[in-house]
Amino acid sequence: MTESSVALPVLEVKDLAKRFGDRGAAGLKEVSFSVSSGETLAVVGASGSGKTTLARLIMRLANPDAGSIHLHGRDITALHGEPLRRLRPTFQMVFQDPLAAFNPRASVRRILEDPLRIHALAAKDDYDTVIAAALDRVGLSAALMQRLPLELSGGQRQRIAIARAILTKPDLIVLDEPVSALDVSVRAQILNLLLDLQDETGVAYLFISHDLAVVRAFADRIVVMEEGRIVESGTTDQVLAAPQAKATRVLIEAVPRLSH
Amino acid sequence: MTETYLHIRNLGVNYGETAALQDISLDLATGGRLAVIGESGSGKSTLAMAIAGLLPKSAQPEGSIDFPGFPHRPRLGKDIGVLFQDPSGSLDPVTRVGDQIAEVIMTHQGSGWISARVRAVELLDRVRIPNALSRLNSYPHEFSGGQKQRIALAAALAGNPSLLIADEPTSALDTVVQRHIVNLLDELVRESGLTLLFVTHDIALASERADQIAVLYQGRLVETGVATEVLGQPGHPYTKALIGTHISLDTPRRKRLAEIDMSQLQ
Repeated sequence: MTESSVALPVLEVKDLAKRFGDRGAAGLKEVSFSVSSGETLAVVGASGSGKTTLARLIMRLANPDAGSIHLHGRDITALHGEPLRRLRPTFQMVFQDPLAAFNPRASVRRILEDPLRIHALAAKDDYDTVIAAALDRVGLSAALMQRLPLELSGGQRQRIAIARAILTKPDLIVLDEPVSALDVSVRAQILNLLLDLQDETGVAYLFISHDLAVVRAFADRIVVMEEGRIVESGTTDQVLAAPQAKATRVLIEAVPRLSH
Repeated sequence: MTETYLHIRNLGVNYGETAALQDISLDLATGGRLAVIGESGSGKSTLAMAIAGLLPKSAQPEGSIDFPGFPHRPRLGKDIGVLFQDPSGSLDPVTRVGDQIAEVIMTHQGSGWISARVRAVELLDRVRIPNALSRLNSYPHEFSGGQKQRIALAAALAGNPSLLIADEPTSALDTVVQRHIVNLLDELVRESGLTLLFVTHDIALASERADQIAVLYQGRLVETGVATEVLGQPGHPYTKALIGTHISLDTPRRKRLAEIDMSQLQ
C-alpha cells in the first residue's frame, strides 16, 4: 500500500490540554480523537465539561498548552498568520446563536460576500450568482439578500450561518449547539439540511451538544466529556445502549421523555 | 370539587394592529399544574405575562382574567411569583443575592431585616445552593447559570405566592441542569401546594410535569385539556405534528427527521 492511498482522518486531535486561571484549573486534559470524511462525531457533556473550549482550540481561536491538532495530516497546532488564513476555508464553524456571530449591520449579501472576497473564491462579477446559489441550497430565497440578521427568524439566521460555512467548501464544520436555540419545528429542518449537505459533499461534522436525543438522530460516533476529559467514546448506538460512564448516564436520564 | 384559581375568558392582546393573542378561554384549578406549549410567536409568553399583570404599556388587552379566590387582583411577588427564562434578567446584577431575596420578604411579609435574612438563607437552602449562609453576600455573576435560576426561584417564592408562573425557566440551560431545575421546581410546587403555570416549547418536558396542557399556535389556543388525553389523543393537527416531530432517544439514527408541514395546519 502506497502512502497516498491511506485515507487520513479529516481531523485528528492528540493529547490536547488547556489550563485556565492561576491555579492551572483543567480546561482540557489528554483529549484525543479523530473524525473521518463524511462522518459525524458528537462531543457531548454538561456545561463546563470543556466542549466549547475544545471547539475553540480546534478552530484555532485559542492555543492549547499541550497536544496536537492535525487537519488532513497537516499539523495546525501552532499555525499562525498567513498560513493559517490560507487554510481557514477548509474548516468552518456554525455557532449556537448566529446573531452573535454576524455583524448586526451587515446585510445577508455582505455576510455571504465576505468569505468569497477574503479567500478569493469567486470573481467579483459572480458574487451575486454564487450567493444566490448558496441561499437556494440552504432553502432560502435570494430576496433575503438585502435583509439584516435582526430581520430574520432564528431558523433563517442559522441557514445563513450554514450557507456561509459551506461557501468555502470545507472538509470539516464544527457545529456548536446549532439547533438548541431553535423552535422544535425548525430544528428538524436544520438537522435534515445538514444531513443532506453531508451526503452531497462528504463534509465531516464535529457536533457539540448536550442533548443526547438530537445526537442519537444525527451522529455516527460520540465522545462524552466531563471536567475536561473524555470519559467515554464509541458508536452512538453502543454508547446509548450500554453507557459506561456516570456522566453518560446522567446525560441520558436528563432527556425529557414524552409520555402519552 | 376543585376550586378554580384562574378563570380566563376571551382574552386577546393586541399591539397596535398586531394580535399577539386571540380569544383565549382557559381555567386553571387551585393546585393544578398547567403547561402552556407553543413555539416562537405563538403568544405563550404574552399569555403568561397577561396573567402575571406584566404586559407592557403598549399592549391592548381585551376579555377577562379572574381569580375567583381573591377579593382583589393578586399582587405580584406576594400572590404570584414569576420565574423567567433568563435569570440574569430577573436578578439585579449589583445587589447581593441575600439582599434581593430579603427585600422581597420584607416587602411582602412585613419582616424585619434580620428575620428576612434568616428566611433568605432557608430559601437558598431549599433551592440547594450549597453553603447558603456564606453565599448571602455574593453577587449574581458569581454563580453559574443553573445556580442563578435557583436563586431566581428562591426570590420568586420569597413572598409565599400561591401561583408560580415559570416562563421557559430552563430553555437557556443544558439538559442536565434543566433536569435538576425541573425536578426541584416540581418538588417545591408539590410541597407548598402551589398552583403552577409552566410555559415551554418542549412537549416532552410538559408531558412529564403537567396535569393540564394548553397548546398555542399563532396566538390562538388550538387545544387544551387533561395532559394524558391531549397527548394520547391529540385533536388538532398542530398538536399531532408536535408529537410527531419530537426527537426522542428512540429516534433512529441517520433517517431524515420528521418535519412539521405548515401547509397542513391552515
